[in-house]
Amino acid sequence: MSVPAKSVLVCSATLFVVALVYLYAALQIPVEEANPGIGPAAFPLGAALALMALATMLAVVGLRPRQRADTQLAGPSIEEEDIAEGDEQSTDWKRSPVTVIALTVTAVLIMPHVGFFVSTSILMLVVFALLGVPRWPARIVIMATFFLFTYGLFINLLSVNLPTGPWGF
Amino acid sequence: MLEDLFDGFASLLTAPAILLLVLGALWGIVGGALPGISTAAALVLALPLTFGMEPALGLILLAAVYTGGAYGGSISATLLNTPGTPEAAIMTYDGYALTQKGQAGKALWTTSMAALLAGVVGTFVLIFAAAPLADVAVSFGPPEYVALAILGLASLAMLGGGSVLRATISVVLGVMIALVGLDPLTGAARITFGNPLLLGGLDLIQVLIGLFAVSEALLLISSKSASAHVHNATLWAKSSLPRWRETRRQSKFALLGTGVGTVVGVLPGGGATIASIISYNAAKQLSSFRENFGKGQLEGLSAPEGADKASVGGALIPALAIGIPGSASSAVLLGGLTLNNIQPGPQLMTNESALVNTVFAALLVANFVVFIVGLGVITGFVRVTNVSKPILGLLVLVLSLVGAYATATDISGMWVAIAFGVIGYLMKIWDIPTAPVILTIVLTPLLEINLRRSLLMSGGDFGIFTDRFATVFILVLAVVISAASLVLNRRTQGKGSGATPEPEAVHHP
Repeated sequence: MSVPAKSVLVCSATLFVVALVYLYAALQIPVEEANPGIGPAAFPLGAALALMALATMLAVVGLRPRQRADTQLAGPSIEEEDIAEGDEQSTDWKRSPVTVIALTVTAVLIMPHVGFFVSTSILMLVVFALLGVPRWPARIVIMATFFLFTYGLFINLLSVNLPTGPWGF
Repeated sequence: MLEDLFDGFASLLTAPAILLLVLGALWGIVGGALPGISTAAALVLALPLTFGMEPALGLILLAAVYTGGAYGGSISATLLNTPGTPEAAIMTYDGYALTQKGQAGKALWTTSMAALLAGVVGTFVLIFAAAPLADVAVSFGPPEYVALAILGLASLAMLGGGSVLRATISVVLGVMIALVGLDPLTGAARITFGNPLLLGGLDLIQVLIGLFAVSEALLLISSKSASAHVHNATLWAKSSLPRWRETRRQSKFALLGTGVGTVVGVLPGGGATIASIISYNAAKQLSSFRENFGKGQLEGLSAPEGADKASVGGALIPALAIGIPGSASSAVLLGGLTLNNIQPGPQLMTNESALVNTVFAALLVANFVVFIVGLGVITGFVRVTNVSKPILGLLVLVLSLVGAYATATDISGMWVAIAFGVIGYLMKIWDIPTAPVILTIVLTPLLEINLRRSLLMSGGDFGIFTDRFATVFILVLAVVISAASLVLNRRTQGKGSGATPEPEAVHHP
């Protein structure tokens, strides 16, 4: 399975923009005139320029019809296995990564105010509802098991102080 | 010397010692398997428990945790595409591919046996060859470390079965992430955008959790298929149990990794990460089925697992012989010795022979204990992959948040993990491998600091890299391996792989 041409373009463009931003930040690093070797800016500048070159190559190589055929012959990479035939990504918005990330971000935003257990419970319940699985008894069992494990390992044994809400947990 | 070693074994034949070996192994395996804890953290957490113990018992516990932690990372790398330790990242290539093919049991048997073999051999090397190998470690200077880092980075771009261009992009991204923070030599702020939170750089474990665990969770949750990756895959299924012929074949690659891991592990700062990369590449060169690397070839597991496990003994060589720890984990173990008023160094073997031999014996026996305990732990872990993918994804997601928080002890860790989770997801969609990023983050400081030190030593003259035999040798090796890998990769792509053969079907020992 090959990456579609549009994705290749988007990928190349994104990498190029990242490289540009990185290059800008690298140019802010002070240059050491007296250093006989290479200064602190050398590696960041080199990395930014390298990424710009590689992003350009990716766009050129990825869009050439002959190269796309070669890429197909190479077979799927390990990451492509995740979205290979029989294991495709759902187009349902309820399961989309955007939805999941939005819910996760919301949970982390409210965590300092309501505590880890409450915010994570809300996150898990909402995701379960969107997924439609499992049934309610299983949901309670899964959540209870997870929280017991978290409490036992991280809080009790490792003394990690997870955020607590106004109710003390 | 043998008499002292036998005395060391005898000290293990007590109920408290056996109990500590088992519990230490269990804790080490769990700590190594869970991203956010790591082997060093598991050791640090076990250290206070040794305060009230006899020195010998305390060291037995630490040895067991150390041995277990070195093995644990491969479990989550294989089952969940999420390495528990950075050096296990290379095992995601073939380990997870095997899990996706329903052969998780076979993969885990391979890593278990490779770990046992490598751990035993590596410990014997530690026992009998510590002194001369320590001399080699001391002779390595900044130019040699530069060459070693270049060897590691050059190998990374050629690994796996995908595009070299995309792998190189991954390597460069890893370099860029590693450079964020204060410059180690001058203290200048780099790529911080004025944000004081970035002055300390990006935490490796948080990045690892994001790139692997969170991104994988996103893929699992959004997967169309409700069924699990693993079909009828248990550790004890007939199809999973190793056959003698395959075991014999994999043991050769495990020994290859053992050799690499012992030698590279001796070098302070070199460690298991470089060893796992080099051994994976070496196995790929030597295997008759190199076109299957990255798609579930067992050698892609046995060699790096051997290297990872053997580097346990390797890292202890400079630690015990000259007091310079070869890794963070061995530094903690040294801390355990110091707490018991035992000073590491050249006189250690003569002044504290009994305790040192107890540590040797504990490390040796711990390999067998980890093997047995590990099989029990894996049986439970494998069941986890049999749950519905979206639910597994949700559990991985929330566990990742906890792990990320644990490394930072505040919310910022979660934000880093989420950000890199998005990045990791995009990388997977765009077919850019994520494992090289983690490995590069480990190698980049080694390369940059030693390159700049070398040039400071030589007054800016790059000739310092051609004046020393070891440096030239390693650099030439890097060029040869890269060229050979490039040629082999092109040949593999030229053959075509419309139907990817199952690992079972391809090898003909």
